[in-house]
Amino acid sequence: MGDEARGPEEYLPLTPAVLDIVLALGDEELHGYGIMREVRRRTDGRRRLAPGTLYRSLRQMQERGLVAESEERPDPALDDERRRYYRLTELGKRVAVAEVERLEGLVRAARSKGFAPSARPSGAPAGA
Amino acid sequence: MDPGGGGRGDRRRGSALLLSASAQLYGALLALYPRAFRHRYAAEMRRDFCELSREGLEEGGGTELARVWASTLSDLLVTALKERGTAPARNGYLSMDPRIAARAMVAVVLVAAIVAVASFVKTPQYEASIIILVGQERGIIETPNDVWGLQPLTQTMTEAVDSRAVAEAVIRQQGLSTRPEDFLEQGLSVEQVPETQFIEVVYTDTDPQRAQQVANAVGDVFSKEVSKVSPGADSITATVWKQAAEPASPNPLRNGLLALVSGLMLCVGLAFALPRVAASGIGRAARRATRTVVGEPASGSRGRLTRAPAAEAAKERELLEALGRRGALTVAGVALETSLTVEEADRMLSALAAQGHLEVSVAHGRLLYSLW
Repeated sequence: MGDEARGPEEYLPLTPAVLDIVLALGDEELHGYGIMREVRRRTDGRRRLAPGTLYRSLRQMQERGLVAESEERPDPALDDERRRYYRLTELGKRVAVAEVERLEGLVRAARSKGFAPSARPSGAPAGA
Repeated sequence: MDPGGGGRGDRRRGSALLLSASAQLYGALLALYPRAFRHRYAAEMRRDFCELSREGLEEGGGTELARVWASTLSDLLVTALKERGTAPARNGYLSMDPRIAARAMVAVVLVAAIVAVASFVKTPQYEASIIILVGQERGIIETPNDVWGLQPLTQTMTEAVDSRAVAEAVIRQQGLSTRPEDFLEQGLSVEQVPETQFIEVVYTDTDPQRAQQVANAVGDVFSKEVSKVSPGADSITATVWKQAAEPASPNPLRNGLLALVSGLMLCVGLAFALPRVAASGIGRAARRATRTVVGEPASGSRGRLTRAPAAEAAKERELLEALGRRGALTVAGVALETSLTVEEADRMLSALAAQGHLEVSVAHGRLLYSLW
């Protein structure tokens, strides 16, 4: 499980799949399929997590203490009670903040080198 | 009347069958993951895949379902290998020649089809089963303590059904031409249904009628034996429930799927093994190429320079082993993985690539070298 003595920076950088999961769990507890749907919704279908990557990432995140299974069950009338719900732990939230800081630093460095969106070569897609 | 109702109904049934087969195949493929991972996540993965398939089929029909399958299958193979700790470096699995991969896939599908067809011509086997309820005169025990007390007894009874004495009595009664050992070993299967008072007895035979008669005879013989040894008011009972015989094998669908899954696993194994095997062959070719680059003429040509020193050959071997181990590396990556300097790595990689012995690709603006 997670080693609380380690600072959040030691878990960085996060893989794209882990970052997707962290963002999906940012404001609510979700089950696996809910995480997939949220990633797809947030990226307008450009990114789709497949079950293997999702659950392998969840296993690693659970072992590192970044996510935990939620103990509170939703109303069975509203959802399938066999599903497991996952939530970000405090460590997970701190790691997420550290990753955002790291990415901000990266973006700042990129902009200082002239890699601003306005400098995109003509013909390059916006989402690329 | 709705003239289109039948068509829609057929389509719904077709979709349901497709989704069911799809889920079963995916469930079987989950066996590629390690047991602990499967135990923890397989049910959720299967449920999520069913949702993805259903959603795909509703949104884009068969095309979208095929896309879901393609992305899920490649993801499953890669993550299963990573979970088993046998996956090489990222993209290593893609180093297989796509034409070879396509031929391998065609071969796998052909073998699966042959296995399925061969299953049809195999002599069919039929399974007849009976259920024996072990109890006392009161029948099914509902008091929890009594149930727990009867379960060890049911286990003992299971052993008794699977005994030579019962086999001999059934063989005699049915006039079978088999030895008790073969009867017990090959035809009869006896198991307690876990945590219940039920024993399931299955007899397999090529003749469905005979399978049914023998299974029933096992139940009757055993029930009589129990009533003989346990008389009295609170006696132990063995109630027999009989079921009809059903075809057990061949099962073309199951056999075909098993062949397909085994073939896919073999393909994945080869995809990893071939580059390593090729590495040894390439090593020899590459050594010739490197000698040319470092100054030695290739065998058969004339030249004034001496042979490459042994140290050079050792470094080259190191480089090739690192590529075999990690799949794809940059110049700096080779320098980190081996004792080569960046200059040496750059020179050797460029030479091998120029000779066509290495594949060169670009990722994130960096040159990556890998074995073909």
